[in-house]
Amino acid sequence: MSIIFRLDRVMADRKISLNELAKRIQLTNSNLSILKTGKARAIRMSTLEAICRELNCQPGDLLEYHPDEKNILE
Amino acid sequence: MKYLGKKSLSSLLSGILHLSWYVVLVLSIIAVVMGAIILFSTPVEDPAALGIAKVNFCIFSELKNDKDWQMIENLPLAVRILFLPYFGVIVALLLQILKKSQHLFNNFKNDIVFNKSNVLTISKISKLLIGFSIITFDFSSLLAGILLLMLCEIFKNGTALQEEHDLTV
Repeated sequence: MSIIFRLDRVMADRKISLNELAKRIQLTNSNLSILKTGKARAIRMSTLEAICRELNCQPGDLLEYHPDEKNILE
Repeated sequence: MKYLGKKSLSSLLSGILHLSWYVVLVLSIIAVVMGAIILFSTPVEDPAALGIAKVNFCIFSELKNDKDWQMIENLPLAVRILFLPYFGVIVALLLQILKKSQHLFNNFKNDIVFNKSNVLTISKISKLLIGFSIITFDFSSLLAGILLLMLCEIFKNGTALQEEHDLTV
């Protein structure tokens, strides 16, 4: 997927662990791990809102767009 | 009534199918032995003349009086030999269908419903059932096989939706 979720980078900047963030946004560790490792297919607005609130950032800080090689050729 | 999970209909069916697999296996072994005795025993004019043949004759006397059976008995040995692989294939297909169905219901018992493994299992069962219906000339099995093939496509779509749901955070 060409959208990359940069949760690990923002978490490192804020010096917050996965467990701590999961507890704060009331999400399971496994679900947050899916998000962190980029396996997620979709993200709910409520989850994105909670992450932005707890990490004090904008959605743009978390999401990055990198066009695939296939997309570039097209 | 619960359909999925522990102590449900799926759990009961899984147990029944597991048991019936062994029952069919034992019955098929007995049938092969008895079939071989009946098919390859030489017709005895006077059963009292042979001690062993007398026992066989008593057991299968009703069967041997049957017109269809007499027709089979009159067939040449080469043709009679072909009956064994024919019934062997039917039994093998039946055992496979039972085994796969048991695997499917076992997954349902463990609350694994929309899963790639289930899609593959249903697809295999439907193909085996279609093969079984062609060999045994059974129209109802053919219909069930086609219906299962349709169900397989539904399960494929369900699995995709389940995956989408599981990976939405």
